[in-house]
Formats: sequence, C-alpha cells, structure tokens
Amino acid sequence: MKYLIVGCGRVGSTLAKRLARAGHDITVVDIDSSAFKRLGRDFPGKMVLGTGIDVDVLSRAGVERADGMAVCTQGDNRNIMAALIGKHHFKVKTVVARIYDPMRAAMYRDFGVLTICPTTVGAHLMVNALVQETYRKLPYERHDVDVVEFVITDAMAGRTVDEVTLPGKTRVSVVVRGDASLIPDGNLRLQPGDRVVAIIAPDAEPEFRKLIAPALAAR
Amino acid sequence: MFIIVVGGGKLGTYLARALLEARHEVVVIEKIERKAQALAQTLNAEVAQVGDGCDPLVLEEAGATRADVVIADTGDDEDNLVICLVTKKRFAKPRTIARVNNPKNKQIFEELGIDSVVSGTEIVMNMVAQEINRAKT
Repeated sequence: MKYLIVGCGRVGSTLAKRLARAGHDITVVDIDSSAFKRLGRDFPGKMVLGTGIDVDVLSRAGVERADGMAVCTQGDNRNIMAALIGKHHFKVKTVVARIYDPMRAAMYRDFGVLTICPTTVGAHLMVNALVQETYRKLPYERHDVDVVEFVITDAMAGRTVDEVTLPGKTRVSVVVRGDASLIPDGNLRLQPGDRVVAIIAPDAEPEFRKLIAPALAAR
Repeated sequence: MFIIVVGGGKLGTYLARALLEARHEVVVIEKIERKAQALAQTLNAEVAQVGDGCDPLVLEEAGATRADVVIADTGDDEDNLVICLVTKKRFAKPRTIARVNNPKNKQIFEELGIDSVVSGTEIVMNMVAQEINRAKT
C-alpha cells in the first residue's frame, strides 16, 4: 500500500520506518530537511520538503495515489488542516491525524478524519498503571465499541466463558492466565486470577457489569 | 450587526476601527496579551478580549451564540480555518469570513464550507496586474 506521512518528528519517523519495514510504499513530508535524519540512511521511502498544508506540496508527495495519510506535525491546527485537505480535497480514503487537544480531537471526528489524541490515551494508560482495578477499559480509538478487562475472583471461578458473555452484545476475546494468553471457546472454565479481555457494545455495559458483578466485588 | 474579529494584528485593528465607526458592535479576540492591551488602548477597553479564538469556550465568552459574523484574520491559515470550522460547528448563527494568506488555500476553505474567503495576496496581485495593464495601454 502507498502511505503518505506528514510530519517527520518522533512519531512520524517511527511510523514511516515501521510501515516501510512492512513493505509499504512510504512518502514523508516535512518543512525541515534535517528532520529526515530521523529516518536513518537506509530508509527506502521518498522524502518531500515542504508544508503539509499546501496542495502543491501534497501533490508532489503523490497524495492522489495514496491509500492512506497520517498527519503528525507539531501543531494541532496544522494537522487538522492537512488532514481535511487530504480527506476532502484529494479524497484520500483513510486519513488519521494526531490532535493533542481532546476537545478538538472529538470535534474533528465529525469531519470524517480519524483522530488520535495522545493526551487521552496517555492519561488512560497512566491511570491503568497506577490504579489496579478489577474492571477497566483499555484504550481503543473507536467509540461504538469498548475493550474491557476484568479479573476473575474466587467468587467467579468455575464459570465458563459463555457464562460471562451476553450473546450479540459482548464477546470474550482473550483470557490471560499466568504467562499465557488463551483464545478461548465458550466452554473454557475460568480460574481465580484470570484476566479476561472482552469486547462490549458501550450500551451493554450496565447489563454486563451486573452479569460479572462477583468479579467486580471485593478484591 | 454584532461582529467578532479573531486576530488583533494590524488588519484586525483597522477592521475593528472601521466597523466601530460604522456603528457595529465589535469584539476582537487576540491571543497575545500585549497586543490585546494595545487594542484596548487604541479602540476601547470593552472591545478587546484576550484568548485563543480556536477554543469554543473563548468564542462563546465573546458572544458567538448571538454574533452575526465571525471574521478570522490571523496570519496563519490553519488557525483561520479552525476558527471558522469551530464557529460553524458550535454556533448556528454567525456567517464565517476567513482571510487566507496563501491564495492556494482559497478553494480549500470554500470546499470546507467557509461562507466567505478573502485572499489579501490575490487582491493585491490583481490590482498590480491591472496597473501594469493600464501602463501598457
């Protein structure tokens, strides 16, 4: 696939190298030629000097033929503008932009641009690291589905995966037992200390919490 | 009319003065405090407001819910675009007018639904071209 990356900072360059290593055709755009040093000498992709909020620069970078575009310069507004040019002017199928301000990140989703907000994701991960909760949401950049994790207590032990599932609304995807991650079928019996990762529809959360209530109690 | 101007540089100051003289109600939002103070001195204290015009709360405080027009005239096109998009998204009433510094962005702004887009560079270029043509004939 052909991807365009605007902004060759730490995130942009890491992204570019990873995608190139996976065999994709990558073009990186940055206003500062010294930023391209981050890509290393053996970077197989193309580098284009210029600002990502200029249609001619994006054209030169081959935006018309890009399958996707990632925007991660230093400025939120610049990222928004570059992403909107890609999405609405050049009709790039998938456009993702980094937006630090959570309020703006939420707003631009409505313009058809996927936004990643490092502020929200970072704070989320820090909370999870600090507070060991029995039930928690894992960071996931979608809003119509949640990924949650809960720990099996003694009171829950012996239940099967099917018994902690609401058909059509939730699904257990992984059971982490000790060092092993098990991809379970419905008959797997849960043991104390198992960490269960489930995909749930956000509106099913109250019902789901009720179903697994013994796992959420005293710990 | 009630007009909010975002960006209190040279253009914003002259614009606000002209609008005030034409008896419009005007608020200028300026990010840099020093510039906002200068504005308050040259125009009047009620006109100038310090804040980031890309922030919907700042726009609301300036009165965007009842404004007839919001003009984004900063020197950065990306800021002007965001100011107008935030206005359109959050407040139903005001018409949005944006200044573009790079004439190439005019079409982009129009495609993204900004009501009126003004390119100073383009206007000056056209005037110069006209003068050159006149000199030739």
